Amino acid sequence: MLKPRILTSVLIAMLTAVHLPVQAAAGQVEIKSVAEREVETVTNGKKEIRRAPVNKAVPGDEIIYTTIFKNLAGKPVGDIVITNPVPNDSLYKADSASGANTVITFSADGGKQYAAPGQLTVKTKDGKTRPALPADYTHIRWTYKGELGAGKSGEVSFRAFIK
Amino acid sequence: MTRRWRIAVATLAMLAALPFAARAAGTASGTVISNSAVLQCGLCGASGVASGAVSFVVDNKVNVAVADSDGAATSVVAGQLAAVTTFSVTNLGNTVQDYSLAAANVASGAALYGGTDNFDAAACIVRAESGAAPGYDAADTASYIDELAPDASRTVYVVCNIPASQANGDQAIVSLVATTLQGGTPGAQGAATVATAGADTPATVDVVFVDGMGSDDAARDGKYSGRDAYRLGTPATLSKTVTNIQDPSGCNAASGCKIVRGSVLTYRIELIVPSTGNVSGLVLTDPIPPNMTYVPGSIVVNGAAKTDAADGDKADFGITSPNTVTVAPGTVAAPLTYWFTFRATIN
Repeated sequence: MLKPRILTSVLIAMLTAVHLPVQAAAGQVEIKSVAEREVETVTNGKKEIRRAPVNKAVPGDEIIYTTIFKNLAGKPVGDIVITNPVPNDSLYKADSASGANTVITFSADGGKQYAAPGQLTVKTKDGKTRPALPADYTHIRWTYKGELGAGKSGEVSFRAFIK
Repeated sequence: MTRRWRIAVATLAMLAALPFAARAAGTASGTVISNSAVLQCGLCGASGVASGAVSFVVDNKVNVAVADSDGAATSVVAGQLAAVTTFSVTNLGNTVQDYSLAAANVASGAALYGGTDNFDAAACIVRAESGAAPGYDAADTASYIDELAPDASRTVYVVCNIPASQANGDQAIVSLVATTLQGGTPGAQGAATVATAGADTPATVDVVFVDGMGSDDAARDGKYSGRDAYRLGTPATLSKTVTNIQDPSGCNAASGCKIVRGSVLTYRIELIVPSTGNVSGLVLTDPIPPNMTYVPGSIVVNGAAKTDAADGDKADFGITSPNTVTVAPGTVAAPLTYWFTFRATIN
């Protein structure tokens, strides 16, 4: 019981360490990823759904991933494209990607090609192709329309189930 | 052509089913799920800006199922020792676990499989299948389940004695409760699992109970339970009698005639099955005794004459077995009284 706990702590520390310097390298636009889950609480008989950090997570749970970005460049920034691979051991939840003022496309081939949901295909084992299902998506891409003003921020999000 | 098509369909079906079937229990506990996004923009450079990774570990999902293996009452007789009922315990979680097992008699009056509990089975023990050979045997000595992998099932036997004083139709219902224990140490029963309370950190493997409520446990308690019943049925009886003798002097009666050379005896074989259900694969055979000769064409089954040939009337003489009357009705519904007669001459 103790051993895997230490191991996973080390793994997380490594993952965090790898990604942090990359984040610090660019000062023009800040980007941050958040993972949350919905928790239902009952207060005075009223059901309330609020978001909470991912503490307990078991297969089948739905996780909300949000990417927050902010323009620190001091001038408008254009051609913003945010790409997010569907996390490991996770399944994209159909119709869950959202982002104000963005065009959302998906990839079902590991990020090589992006298209709107109806236009994606995947190759089957026998070499044929079939329409891609949301569960086949490997990447999500948000293309920001126009420019993001100086000091302005935006956010995009999607949901995925733990396999 | 048809054959090829069939094979292709089977392969497709397997491919479609596998990814889901293999992962019913889900991602293994301790797996780190990590998410990060990359932002590219006019000012961001060729590689863009990466977000920091947000990570959490998949927790220990505890879920277990217990089910009666045959979905029917186990037929027993009064005074039967070591009567076996069979359950299956399935790990529906995402972690290798041990399970402690507890069998108990349920409260009188409980109903199951069309019967009502009115007595307690005695000296019940629980044993997990060792895997050496199917069925309860001497190799099955463990009273707990050791190291059950996610999605795997283990057969569990509840073995009880039936009191000698019980009557036909009496029923005892036993419950089996499987409690999830920590796995990871083969050959030793693990410690109890405790659901991690309240707040914790995303970086540790927590224990989360997601099990449902079984017949004899609560939801989200790391346990699950099922029930099976012992029901008393009267054992089947088989009898053979001589119902008529015809001697050379002309005497022809159920009794009082002489048993001498040339006498013809009528034998009656009767099977009585008092319990309810189906008797399957029923075959009754009777070899002609030494120094006697079968009277051709003398087989009568439940009052209907049968031929000696193997011709679909489910009765023959000397065909299925030499010098033997064979009556093979196959599957018949019980309760029943099934009888046949034949005649034989003393040489």
